[in-house]
Amino acid sequence: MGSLFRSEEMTLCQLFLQSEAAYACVSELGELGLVQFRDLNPDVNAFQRKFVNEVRRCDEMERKLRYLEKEIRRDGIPMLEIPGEVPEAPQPREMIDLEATFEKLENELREVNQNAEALKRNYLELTELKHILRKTQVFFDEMADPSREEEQVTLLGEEGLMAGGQALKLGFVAGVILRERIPAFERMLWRACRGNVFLRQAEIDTPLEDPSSSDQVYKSVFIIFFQGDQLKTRVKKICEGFRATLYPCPEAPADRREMAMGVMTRIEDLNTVLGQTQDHRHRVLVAAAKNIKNWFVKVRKIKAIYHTLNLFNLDVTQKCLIAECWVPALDMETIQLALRRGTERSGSSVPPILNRMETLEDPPTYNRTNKFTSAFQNLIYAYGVATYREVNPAPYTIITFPFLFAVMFGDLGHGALMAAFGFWMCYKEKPLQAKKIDSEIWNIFFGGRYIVLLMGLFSMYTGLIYNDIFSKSLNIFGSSWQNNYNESTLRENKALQLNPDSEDYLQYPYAFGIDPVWQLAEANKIIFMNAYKMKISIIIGVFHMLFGVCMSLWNHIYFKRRISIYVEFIPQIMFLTLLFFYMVLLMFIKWTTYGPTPPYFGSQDPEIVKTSGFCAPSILITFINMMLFKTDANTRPQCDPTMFAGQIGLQKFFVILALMCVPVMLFGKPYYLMKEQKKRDSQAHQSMEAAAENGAAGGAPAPAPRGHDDDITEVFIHQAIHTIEYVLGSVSHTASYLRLWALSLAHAQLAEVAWNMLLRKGLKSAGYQGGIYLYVVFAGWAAISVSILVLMEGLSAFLHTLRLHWVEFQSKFYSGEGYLFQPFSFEVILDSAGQTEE
Amino acid sequence: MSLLLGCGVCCMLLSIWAILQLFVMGIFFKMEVLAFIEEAEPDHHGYEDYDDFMKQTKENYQLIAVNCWVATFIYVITLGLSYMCIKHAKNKERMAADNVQDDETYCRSKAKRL
Repeated sequence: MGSLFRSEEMTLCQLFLQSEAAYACVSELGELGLVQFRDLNPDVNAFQRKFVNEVRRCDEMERKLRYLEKEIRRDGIPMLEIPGEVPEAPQPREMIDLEATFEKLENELREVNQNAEALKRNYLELTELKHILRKTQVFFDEMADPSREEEQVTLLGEEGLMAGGQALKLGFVAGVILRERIPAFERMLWRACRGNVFLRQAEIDTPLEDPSSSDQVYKSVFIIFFQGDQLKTRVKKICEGFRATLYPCPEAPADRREMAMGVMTRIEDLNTVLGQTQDHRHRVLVAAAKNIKNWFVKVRKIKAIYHTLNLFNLDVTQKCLIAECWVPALDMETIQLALRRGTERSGSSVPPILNRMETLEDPPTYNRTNKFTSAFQNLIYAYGVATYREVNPAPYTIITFPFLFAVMFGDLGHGALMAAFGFWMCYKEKPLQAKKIDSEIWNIFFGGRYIVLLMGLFSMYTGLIYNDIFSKSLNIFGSSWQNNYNESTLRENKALQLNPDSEDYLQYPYAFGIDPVWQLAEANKIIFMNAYKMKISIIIGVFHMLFGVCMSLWNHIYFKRRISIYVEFIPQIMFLTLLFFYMVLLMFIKWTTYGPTPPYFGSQDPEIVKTSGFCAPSILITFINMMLFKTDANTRPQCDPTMFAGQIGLQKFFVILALMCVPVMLFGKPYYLMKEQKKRDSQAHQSMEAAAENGAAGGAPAPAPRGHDDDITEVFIHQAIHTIEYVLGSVSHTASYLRLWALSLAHAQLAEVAWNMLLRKGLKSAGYQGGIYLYVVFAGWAAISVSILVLMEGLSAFLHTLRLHWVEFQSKFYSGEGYLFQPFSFEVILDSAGQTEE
Repeated sequence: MSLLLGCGVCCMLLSIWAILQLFVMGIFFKMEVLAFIEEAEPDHHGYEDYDDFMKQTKENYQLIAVNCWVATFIYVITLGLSYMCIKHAKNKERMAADNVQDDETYCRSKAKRL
């Protein structure tokens, strides 16, 4: 039965498929997603593989589909998601049908687009002509009136007209040019024709659509008057250079009017035709949009199958394909069934053969996870994939991760917000997944929705323990502290202390969590909480690390490294326990031994003083003295120097025992390996001698002694690194767990600052506008709370928890040198293709 | 359009949170809960003697309770407004989507542009 405890057992299998059945079988295996194929042709070029033609055809089909998709997207038509089941990979013969359909659609669309462009060009010309006819009307009108201005018909002056026999006729050209080009155009004309041409221009008010780029451009109408052929050619060349389009414009007004009417009718007709073209295009695209996602899936599946078939080897008889694959041992039955289904579908008679193969390679790591556990498993994998069949830290992470997060985040209010967010994501899982939102940040949050939900719930729990909701405390069970000072004392003193060793404390603690009165103790709330939170952090840390070391025991047992249990596990556990677990025990002893004795508050009786709070020693100083074999002078003569009898002797014994563990860790394994080597060498010698005695009749020599792959110095160095890492690490990691205290302090203080500086101002505001002011201030406080306290602090605590798991916990047992099992699965391929597309 | 929807959703969530929290806080202020003493006590030199202190503190508690409830009421109005915003935004989106699907309206608008 597969479980999350360690990764699944994998077998390397050889698969023999008949060529006809290969496609269908691979299709079935792709739907199943439990088989990882190996590439049996690694040195073969992509273009020399067997199925390269089919892959090429699939690529071509995909290109056509992408073109269709681009056109559909350009028109803004929504593409329907696939209703119901994802379609299966179609049969090879269906591929031809699909190709034909796509070809037809593509051709149709290209034709329509080309026609539309030609029509638009035509339309543009007609529109420009219309504008020209309209504007030049004005020019010619002015020209017809000779008594107007000088620069008119008689460009050459009266003399020209009267001198020559014939009246010199002015020629003209009319055209349209981009507005931006007019100044340069004018200048060029002036210079080239030496001022002998006359340009008039008028702007076209409405922008025109450029057919190729679909931009809206502004143009102007111009008309140029000149005399003589030379100037005419020159003007025409300049117009060409500036890409102005020239139009034939009749001189006579009647002709012009006729032309204008003709142009109008043609424009109307063209509009209708254009409309119908667009209509047709839209209909084609809408019809295609209904099926396009379906087609994408089919084409991608075909391509994936042929890619996989390319990895196979062709048998000598050319009738059979051979594949090598990694398969989870428990799934052999399911795979056999799938293969049988595939052969039946293809109508082949020969059943496929699945053979187990022996191998010395490292199999891939595979963990069967569901939507809940996969998030936690991915957190572990992000640091390193577990070695094959190593103990998997993921199932414990499901609880320890949210718990350590909550210790750092403990606030009932913020935890409730986080839990609500996580709950919404998990509740609306299916619709949110179907939406396929693009944003990467959203996908990160959504992928970790169960983690967020658990973190929120655990934070609510620790919020109740710390008795902190938005930096205020809840008094549910009645505080265990009371005020016994009289009025005059209260009036005269700014700050007073309540002594637990007196009637002020009711001698039984608050029922659940920290007493609510502590939130009001401005002066020493932080000192008290520090003492509490630091001890809790160390206790949690030591237990977490001890658990990590115990996991290594399971690894040693499974991998049959018995010697490691004796020279690695036992010294490690002893070192950690004798030093740091002892410190934890000291904390518990301090908590239980020292305190007020109820009927005799403040008594001076030496026996009672010895167990009062006055005599409680500092754990840190005790521990430091223990390690340094030192004793301090007793500054409090009424108190015992030790917490229990025989403490000094016991501590010395523990330290010496712990220090003795270090050389065992350092030299134990190398010494044992050296002994093993000597034994193997002597055995090999003996067997060789025996073979020589028996007369080696051409027999092969005795098998060379296996295994001493690394020489002895490397083993020593390796072990030294490990030992130093562990010994120094145990000190530094224990201290590292103090970040649980540090972050929870930071969170509490930030929440307090937010409340005091923001919300209190809103609450205290006076008068009727107080309510409105509070309305505004509350929105600001809520924004700050969510953005800084939930988001920023949440991310920070998440990161620190992750570090605690990856470094402090996993370094005790995890090697993480495996590689991930990546099965051939259509789901994975379609998902990743969908993502890259967006 | 999704800006209006986004604003609407934000305001709605904020309003729900505000209504819950401010209403409960108003009740607690009415009950003169000790945890809120720092909000209710008068300033350091704003009182003459013990009785004045107690009187001002009690008054402040009641005033702040009223403040909280007034703010709750304004947030109820905001909740209503945000709900209407969301409905309006969703309607507009639906109509725009329908427009694209319908061939006639789509092509008519396209032809007009030319």
